[in-house]
Amino acid sequence: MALAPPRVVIVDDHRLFRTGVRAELGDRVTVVAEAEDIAEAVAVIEQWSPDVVLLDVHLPSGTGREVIEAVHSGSTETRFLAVSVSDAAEDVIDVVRAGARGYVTKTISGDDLVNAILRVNDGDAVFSPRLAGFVLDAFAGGLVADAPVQDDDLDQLTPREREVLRHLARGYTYKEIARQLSISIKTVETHASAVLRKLQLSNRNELSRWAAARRIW
Amino acid sequence: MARQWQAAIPPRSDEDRVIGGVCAGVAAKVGIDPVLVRLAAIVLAMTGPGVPLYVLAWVAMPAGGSESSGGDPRGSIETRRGVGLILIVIGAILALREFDLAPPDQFVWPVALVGLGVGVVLWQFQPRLEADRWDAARIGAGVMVVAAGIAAFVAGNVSFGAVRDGVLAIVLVGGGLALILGPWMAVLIRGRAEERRRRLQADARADMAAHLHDSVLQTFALMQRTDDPREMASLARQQERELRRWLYADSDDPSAVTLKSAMERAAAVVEDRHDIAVETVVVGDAPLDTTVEALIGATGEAATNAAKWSGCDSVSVFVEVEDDDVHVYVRDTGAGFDPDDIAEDRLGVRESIRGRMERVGGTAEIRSAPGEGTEVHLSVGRPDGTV
Repeated sequence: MALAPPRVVIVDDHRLFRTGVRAELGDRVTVVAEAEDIAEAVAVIEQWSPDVVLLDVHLPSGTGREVIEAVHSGSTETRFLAVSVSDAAEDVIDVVRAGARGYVTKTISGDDLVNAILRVNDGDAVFSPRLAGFVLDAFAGGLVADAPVQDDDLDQLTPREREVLRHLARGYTYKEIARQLSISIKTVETHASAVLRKLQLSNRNELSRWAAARRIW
Repeated sequence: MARQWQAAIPPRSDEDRVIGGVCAGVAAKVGIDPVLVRLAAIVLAMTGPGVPLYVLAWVAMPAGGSESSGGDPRGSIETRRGVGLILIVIGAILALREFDLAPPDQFVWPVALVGLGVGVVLWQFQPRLEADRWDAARIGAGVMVVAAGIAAFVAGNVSFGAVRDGVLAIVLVGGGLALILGPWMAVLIRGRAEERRRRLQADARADMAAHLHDSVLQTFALMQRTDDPREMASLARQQERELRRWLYADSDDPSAVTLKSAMERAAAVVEDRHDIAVETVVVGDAPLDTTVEALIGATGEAATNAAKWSGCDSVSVFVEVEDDDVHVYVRDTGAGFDPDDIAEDRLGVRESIRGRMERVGGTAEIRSAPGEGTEVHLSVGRPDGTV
């Protein structure tokens, strides 16, 4: 656990939202800067090297993905938490695949948001029920029948990981899942991080096909 | 001065004309029957400088010697220029012949015909979207003229004795047609596609505007009129949900009802009725049947219970459709209760959940403890398997 409150940058094109979030976060985290578009976000993040960036999935000139990619190429220790009103699954999956450590909706309560930021700051994954549902959907159906069984673990979730995701989708916290499955919280965190890693690294065809099938524009 | 000079020249006749109305114009000015003037003109044309004279007169005489000059001025100018050009060409050829400079007849006439046909067709060579009957007639005429020209050229220059030459003639004619019709067809097809794309775009925009007006703007108006924050939140939630459904509907046909959309609708009803957020996550989908409907009914009942008794401001609904069965979890983190110790009225509600599920061969399991929240787990098999 970090001793000082994590230093946070808020990237969102709605001033009202930034102000609201800043007020809700209070002094449990330190908001060092705000940004409202991709260029400003990249500049601010490089200037401040914050611990956590609250990143809107949709920005006026593009998506949060571009911010993550621009910053990660400069290799900082900054971690990203995607925040969005968007329900478009492929947008959310896209930002997470680009490297965000989690996804929460803008309707999240202040306390839950602080917890999510602290969790991301500790290097854990944050799954809102919605993201858990998206991931289950994306990895559903197994592999196509006539494809050779792949050794690549990245392409499939283990039964335990599925179980954890299902509980997340049901609205359980990590602590509640740990109790429910009689495992330690640490183990739950490990499973969640493993799912995040698979989501980011898998080249599984179904993932891209799944995203393509849902593209609306 | 120019005006005086112009006044001396009679206008051509728009109504009574054979070629350009020159003869009728002159006849009207002089005061004799136009037929006499025409005869004179024909004689002049056969014997001497009639054609160039006629062209000259045509260009010199102003248009529209009739009172009812309601014609399209652009059209008449174009026609005049076109026919004038043809006559000038003919005149030039005739003049050249006088000096033995012209190419032989069997070359000149076919070339002239082809030129005329191409001219007529090219006249249409503008990407106009709505081609009318006259366009079609003109193109048809142009094509026939071209075909005739090419045929005449072939007949005049090539011996028809050999089959090879017949094939050549066909190739020539076909090539000519392709040359002329090809670009026109391309323009037409491109025009149609462009028009369709524009129409689709306009439709989409109109659709969007209508939708935003009916929903978002109305809601904003309502929100300005209310002081009650709960009411405001409820309106905002309702609008958000509706807009989201409209924007991100999975199916191409938003009216298609499946388990997923019906479940989301049921959750929306609970949200609106009980002023509580129902966070619904659906993985997979299935067509609607009596089993699924029972499942949705029971889910709505469970969510309503949570809204009434839990004291929470949100309920989680998780639906997972698998190959062989469907699972639903309705969970709140509120007051909870001891399942062995439930009041009669709630027993009834519980039975309406359990009874519903059992009638379609499913199960309902309720887990709760005081202070621990409540979770209802519904599950039912899918007899029809994967659909």
